[in-house]
Amino acid sequence: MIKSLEKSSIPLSGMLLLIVILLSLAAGRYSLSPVQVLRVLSSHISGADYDGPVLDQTVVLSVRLPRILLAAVIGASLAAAGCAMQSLFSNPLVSSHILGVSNGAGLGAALGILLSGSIIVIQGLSVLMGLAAMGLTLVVSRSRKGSGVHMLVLAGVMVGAVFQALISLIKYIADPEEKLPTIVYWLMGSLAGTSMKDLLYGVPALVISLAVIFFIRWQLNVLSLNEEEALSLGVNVKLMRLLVILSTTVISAVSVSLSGIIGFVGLVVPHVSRMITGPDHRTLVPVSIFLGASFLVVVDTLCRSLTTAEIPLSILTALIGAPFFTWLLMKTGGSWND
Amino acid sequence: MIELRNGGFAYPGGASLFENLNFTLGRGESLSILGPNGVGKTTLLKTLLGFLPLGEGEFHIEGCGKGKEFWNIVSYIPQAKTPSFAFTVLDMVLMGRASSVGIGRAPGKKDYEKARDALTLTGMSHLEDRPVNRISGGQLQLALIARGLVKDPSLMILDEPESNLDMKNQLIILDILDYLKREKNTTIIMNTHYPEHALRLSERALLLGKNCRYRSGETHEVVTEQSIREYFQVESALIEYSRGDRNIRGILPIHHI
Repeated sequence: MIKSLEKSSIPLSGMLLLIVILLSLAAGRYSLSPVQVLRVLSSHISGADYDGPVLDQTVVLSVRLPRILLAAVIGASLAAAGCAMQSLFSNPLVSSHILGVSNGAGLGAALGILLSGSIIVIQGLSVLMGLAAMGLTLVVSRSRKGSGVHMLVLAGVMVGAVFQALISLIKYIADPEEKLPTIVYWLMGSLAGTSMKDLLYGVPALVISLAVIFFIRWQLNVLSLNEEEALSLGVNVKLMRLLVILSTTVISAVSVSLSGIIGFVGLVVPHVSRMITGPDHRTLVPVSIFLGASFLVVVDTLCRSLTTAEIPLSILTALIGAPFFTWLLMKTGGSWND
Repeated sequence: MIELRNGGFAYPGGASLFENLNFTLGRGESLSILGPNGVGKTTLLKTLLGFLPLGEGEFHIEGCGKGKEFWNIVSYIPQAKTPSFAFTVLDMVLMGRASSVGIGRAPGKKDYEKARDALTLTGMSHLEDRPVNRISGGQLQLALIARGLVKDPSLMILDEPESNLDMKNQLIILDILDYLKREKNTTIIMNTHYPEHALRLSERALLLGKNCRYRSGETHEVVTEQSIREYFQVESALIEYSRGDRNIRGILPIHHI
């Protein structure tokens, strides 16, 4: 960990996000220069007339901006949820997928497509089933008094496996001409066609959950100690756990409902951030938020501009995330303190 | 005044680990809990701390209730074990202020002052920026004691604070605990495997044995050659050494029975 980098990591990662957003607004099949993008944005904010083609404004403000904002919020939320889960389990190797929420939300989406196909039904069922999966995990893990986080993880893995199997079952019985491809593409995730109106569906829930994690970030330090230690330091461990589980569940479920199952971000981004900032969540959480947002904006920009057809988000997240993480692991040996 | 009255504990479906335990401690006094492995020393500490329910009897601290009120005046110092995330020593010690830092807030200037005072008292100031996975076991134990000190506790409960430490570090820990008793009027309850540490630090001792046997009282009455033979099945010699006005007593183990 480099001391000077640690101190300036929050403003630096914030600036990185702004630059990434600017470049992403400019990138795509209808290519613009960053200067043109800035002129479109400034004329929109100030209300002055833009002297370039109208298409510039449409592409930047109506097509790219909503999609980029959604990618940023989802990336930020998944990264923050990863930080919170890693603290809750005192383990840098877990992510918010571990409690079965993503698979639950995936099942909800698949069911929604099978039954109706309306976007509200799909997203609603997705969030509902995500929450149901979390509830089931909690019920199983609490069946015996005094069982701790190990039981929670095992319960999550079991519940996740059942829901994964149910997704396969739905795929198996779905109409292969119409429903099956829709389910498959949905689960692969895509932010294509996001409009400003779409932002109203999931973004408020994501932002509220993200804010909860941000506000309790110092307490996440204490929560990462073992339970008895955290309790003896005077932290309301039950309340903190509840806040973390609820906010990460909402983030997982809502993000799946908006963009399919995106692996990696919740695991990799907190890891990379920890290498830069050290484990103090006061710095780690904001840096993870900025880096998570930047990462997903970059990946989504590549999804829409690499080929003429859209590449599903989860494919590129893994194809870019996995080699990058492997490279980082080989370079550092997986350590973030030496 | 701190009192355990008729304390008892049994694991569900198991035989009693201890029963009918009694002790009282005044402010600034210290109790050492001794006994062979497996007699329930750590379990007893956990019941005092409320991590495990006391099966019978009650543990009472004068003028103090349960929950937040309890943790405002009681510090628990676990055995030194490196945490999953390598916080710096200062960040680790700051966590001791968690009971006074509200949810959604971070430690402020006063909390930093308290943490730095505790680091000074334990002689750890020069290591405040060091990650806790890059300090020695003795230093980590001192950091944990510093973390326990930042809330100015009236009672400190320590689980074998000198285990796994070399001789010098053991003496440093005992000196700090002795200082806290004398200068800060802190009451101390600790588990230890070292009878000489009990003799050195504590006015009172509680010797736990198998089958719920125990002996409680003044340390020099509890830690004797006869009780070591009875409770540990070890023949030993009580030795005394005087230098100046200091009188140091220890137990020299000879052979096991």
